Amino acid sequence: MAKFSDTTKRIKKYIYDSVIETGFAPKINEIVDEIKVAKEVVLSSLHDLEGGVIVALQNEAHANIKTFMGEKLPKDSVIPDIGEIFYARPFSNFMNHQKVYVNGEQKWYAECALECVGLSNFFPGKEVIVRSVCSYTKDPVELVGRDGVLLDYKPKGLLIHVGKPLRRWLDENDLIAPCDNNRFFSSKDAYLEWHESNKEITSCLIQPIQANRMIRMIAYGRPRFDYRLRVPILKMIAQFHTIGITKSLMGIPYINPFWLPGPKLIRNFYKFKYKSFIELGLW
Amino acid sequence: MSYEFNKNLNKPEGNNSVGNGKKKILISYFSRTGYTETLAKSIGNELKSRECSVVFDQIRPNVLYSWLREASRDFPKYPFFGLTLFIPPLRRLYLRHYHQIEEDIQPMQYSNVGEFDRVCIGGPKWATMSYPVARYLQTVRGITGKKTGIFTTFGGPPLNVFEIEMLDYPMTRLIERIGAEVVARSFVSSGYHEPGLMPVFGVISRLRYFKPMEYFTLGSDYANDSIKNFCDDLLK
Repeated sequence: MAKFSDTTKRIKKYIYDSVIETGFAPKINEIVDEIKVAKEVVLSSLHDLEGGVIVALQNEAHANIKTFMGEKLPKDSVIPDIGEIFYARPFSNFMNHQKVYVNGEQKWYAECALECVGLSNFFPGKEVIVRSVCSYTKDPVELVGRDGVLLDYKPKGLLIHVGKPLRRWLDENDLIAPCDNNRFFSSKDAYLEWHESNKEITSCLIQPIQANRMIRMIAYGRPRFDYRLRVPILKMIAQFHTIGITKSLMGIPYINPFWLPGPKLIRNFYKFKYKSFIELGLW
Repeated sequence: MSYEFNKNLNKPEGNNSVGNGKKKILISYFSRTGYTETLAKSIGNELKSRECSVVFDQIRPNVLYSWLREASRDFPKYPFFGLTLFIPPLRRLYLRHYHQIEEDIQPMQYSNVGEFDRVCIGGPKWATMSYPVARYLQTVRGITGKKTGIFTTFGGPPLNVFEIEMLDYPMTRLIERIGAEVVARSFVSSGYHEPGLMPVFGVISRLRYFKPMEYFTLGSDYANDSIKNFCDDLLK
């Protein structure tokens, strides 16, 4: 397992500090000025952070997008230039329809439906509300959290749709794409109707509370200096039903292959020159 | 020993550094039994006497457990920890790579310390760093590039390896990795040990330094000198 260098960690910290203070991640030149290292070092660190599922960098496929997860972007939304930070997960680096309110103040935008549920971890002791819309009915969706724990959500039938199986996350060299189809649906009926016209999108539905447990298990403590994504394998297996990664066959639960990595993912991970910053743990 | 958190501690005293040249100093500390808080207050008073504006911010864990529960999280490491005391290269290796346990903390009053000229961070020694202080250092914002001071209390006499190095090395290393600089240090004995090792420390103090424990505890000349030197170094 590779480890982030201290410079990379300082860059990560600066990015998150900037997001918490201003709502948006800094540009590469701003990082160079602040951290006082060469631009090549910053670029290399950002590539590492992208491989560690901490940031996602803008690419040609997402340049000049007019919609985000099926919703029209606000007119004053400024899409990052190619190579700049697109996501400082779980935050989006541009205005979109997923607004984040912290103690009533709004200047942050969330990345995807899955990450929204654990976002309050960044604002200790504060009530964090994420407001979005159902992808099909356009009904308002609201998630209330505090200290990383999801306290409430509306509507009560809310489901999170994850649109790309883990094994296909790196089919192209594009770490933004796995989140492109993570959406909210106000009910299962809404999802089924949407799915009728979007059958090409592979789907997995997960309840918000399950998603919250999953995010807390693997991505808790992102603002920490030494954070890296940690997958506690035994813990996940022991609690696989509570984190929504199961299917069942004749009442017998088993791990949904949707959430399993495949050889192609691992091969592409190295093909696109990412290092393995994800820590595998037992518990 | 019990104590009540003094809310007045959080009121900034004096004006801030903007406009009048006074240094604005933040003292963030975690204190479980009150001894580190006493040291923090003593440092604060000394800094105030040197025309600094001092603000206190207490690091409070989300849940304060019994010492036994806290220590049990580190118990498996203790045999190896003990071994490293006698083998310096092994100790350095251990201190570079050991897994520092952290504890969730309540929101800080100053989660971004960017507005301060100096930041002092203190806590007790729990084998190495105390868990809430470790989490504080991991999450505090705006500390990069700052000059900082670290202060700590521990039960025994100021043994170079067991008490000082075991805390100073990992804490300094973490602060420097974050991008700040440690310019001042104060290590003072509290003369109190929750699991009850004070008689042992008393004997060690006599054997090693030919002095009673009281010689090193808060309020002693040793402690006062340590605080003065800390402030001198911090304000250089």
